[in-house]
Amino acid sequence: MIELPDDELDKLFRKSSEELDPQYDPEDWNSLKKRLDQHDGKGAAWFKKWWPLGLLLLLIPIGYATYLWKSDNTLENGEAKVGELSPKPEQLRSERGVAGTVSDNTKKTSSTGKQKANDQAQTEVEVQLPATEKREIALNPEAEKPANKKLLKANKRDFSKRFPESGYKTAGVESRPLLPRSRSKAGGVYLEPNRSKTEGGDGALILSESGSNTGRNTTDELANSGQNATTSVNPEPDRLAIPAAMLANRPLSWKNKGVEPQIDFVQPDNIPEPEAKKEEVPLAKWAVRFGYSPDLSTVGMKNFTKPGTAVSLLAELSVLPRLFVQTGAVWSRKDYFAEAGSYILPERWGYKPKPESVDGICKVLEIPLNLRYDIVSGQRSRFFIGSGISSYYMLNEKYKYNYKYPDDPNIKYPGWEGTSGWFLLSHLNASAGYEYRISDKLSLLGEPYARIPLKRVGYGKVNLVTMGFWLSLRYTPAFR
Amino acid sequence: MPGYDSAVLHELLAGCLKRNRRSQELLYKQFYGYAISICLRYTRSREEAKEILNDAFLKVFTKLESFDTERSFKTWLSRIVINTALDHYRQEIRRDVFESVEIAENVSVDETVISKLSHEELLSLIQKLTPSYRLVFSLSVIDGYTHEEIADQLNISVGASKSNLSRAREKLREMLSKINIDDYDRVAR
Repeated sequence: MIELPDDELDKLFRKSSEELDPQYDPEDWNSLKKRLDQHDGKGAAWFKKWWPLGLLLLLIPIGYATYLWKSDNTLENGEAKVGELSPKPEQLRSERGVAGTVSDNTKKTSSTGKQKANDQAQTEVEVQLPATEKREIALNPEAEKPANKKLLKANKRDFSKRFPESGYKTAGVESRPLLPRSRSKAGGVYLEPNRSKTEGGDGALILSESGSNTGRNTTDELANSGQNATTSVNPEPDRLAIPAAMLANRPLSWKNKGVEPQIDFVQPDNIPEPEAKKEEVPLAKWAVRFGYSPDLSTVGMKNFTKPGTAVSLLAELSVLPRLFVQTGAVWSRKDYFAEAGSYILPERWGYKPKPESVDGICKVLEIPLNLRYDIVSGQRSRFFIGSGISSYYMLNEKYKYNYKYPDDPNIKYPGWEGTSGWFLLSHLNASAGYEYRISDKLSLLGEPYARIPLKRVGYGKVNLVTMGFWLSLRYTPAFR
Repeated sequence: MPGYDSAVLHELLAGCLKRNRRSQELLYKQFYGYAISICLRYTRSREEAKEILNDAFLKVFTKLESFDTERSFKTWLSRIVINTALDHYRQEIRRDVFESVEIAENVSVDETVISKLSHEELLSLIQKLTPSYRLVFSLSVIDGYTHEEIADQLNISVGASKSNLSRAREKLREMLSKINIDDYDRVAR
């Protein structure tokens, strides 16, 4: 044995270690680079690649929400216009060529002398024409049309809600002067601050008759028969409503003898046709769709690699109103990583070194046969679910075997490339999606999906799970 | 490598922080020899050393934010490489795949005289030690760890660390002697 003292021995090996300069092997960097790509692929790089798709997915629901919001806004504007009609009787007057008297303008009309103070003639019907100046209003049907439309909307959307029918069913309400206490209290009352008792008011309270009744009369009658009425319009339909129970505190004023509003009807020359109901568009029988999807494939639901690509061309046939049969072709490139245990090696391998894992790139032609059912079907939007079965044809398979010691001279198979053909009914399909119609013939679809293996596929007989998100353009031909 | 604690190194590190592949490659290339030398002392084969090397560099590139630029990058790198090698050793221990001491003892050595032994050959002698001897020897003699630190790292007692070091030296002497005897026999024939 060599008699080297400890420090000499240490020095020998220390010096040797310090001076050792192993040669650089570019393959080592390539191996690390691949790992870095995988590592970064989970975060920033993947995001950089796919953010446009994510943005698109966000824009679809935002677009739909905007559409809904605009629709609501349009309706609200329609209601607001109805409201504007009432406080601005001048507009009506100018349209109709008549000076309607509005309660808010009572002072004004009294001071001009055109309407003499007539305490008893002031009723809770806040708009009326004095008998002395009552004129027959022959409405111009053309001028009436816009108002009719607005009132129609108001009748449908607003008045019917605010004033229940029971408020109009009070006995005798149409045959005698209307006083606050003689009416049903179900409809509530409106405060009329400009009318004092001395000015002929009844103490500032009126019922909601004017707004509701006028609205109902004008809209119903105008809409149904085309008759135009001389009834005035409530100048402030949204005045403060106070509970009818508070009326008990107010003394009954018999001075405020109401005058029944006189309504004169003139048959217009042209009776406007009632608005035709929109024709129900029957469901199209056929449709074709072209789709693109990122294709995320995995063996064993782990070790996800970068997504591949899938494109599809599918035809759909409606077999029931909401049920479609769907088939076509899907081309996809599936990148995946399989651990050795998931990959069945051919028997010819024998005792050769076995790989630790396999990197696979498969180009697959898929023939799906699916059913699609529309669970929610709106005018523009549909939500649907789908399920079916797919057969795979392996167009090309490329596998790279990863060994623990790649330089091992006993390694015989570095990889494999070829095709293993058809795998019939190999996958179960499941999807759910949203369709938005952008025109009568075209619609956009977003549809997350999964392909669940029913049998092993490919040269390595792997249980290949695929997930993705179809972004499709659906075309509905003219024929139905 | 004194020149690399310089502006060039800082530029490379800045690029690595931005996940720039070119900067990463240059840094890797620059410190490859230094890092794999460490790995080789702690492993049995070059393949194993490469595996540890890349594990260590992956940590370097992904944890570079935690590096204090005021300190030596080389020292930081060596700590990471050694720690990665020790992690690897712990995993191997759990798998219990090490050869027995007897098998390791019977490994033949190259027929070269000690005076002509290259660095690679001396290194191969270290690699032929059993893992526990190899690690203690490398940590103590080459990387300058104290027995307390070694005991802490390897989860053994200080006494066991000292004992392993002593036996490692003994084994190395044996292997060196065998090389000499073999060389003598070869020349005598």
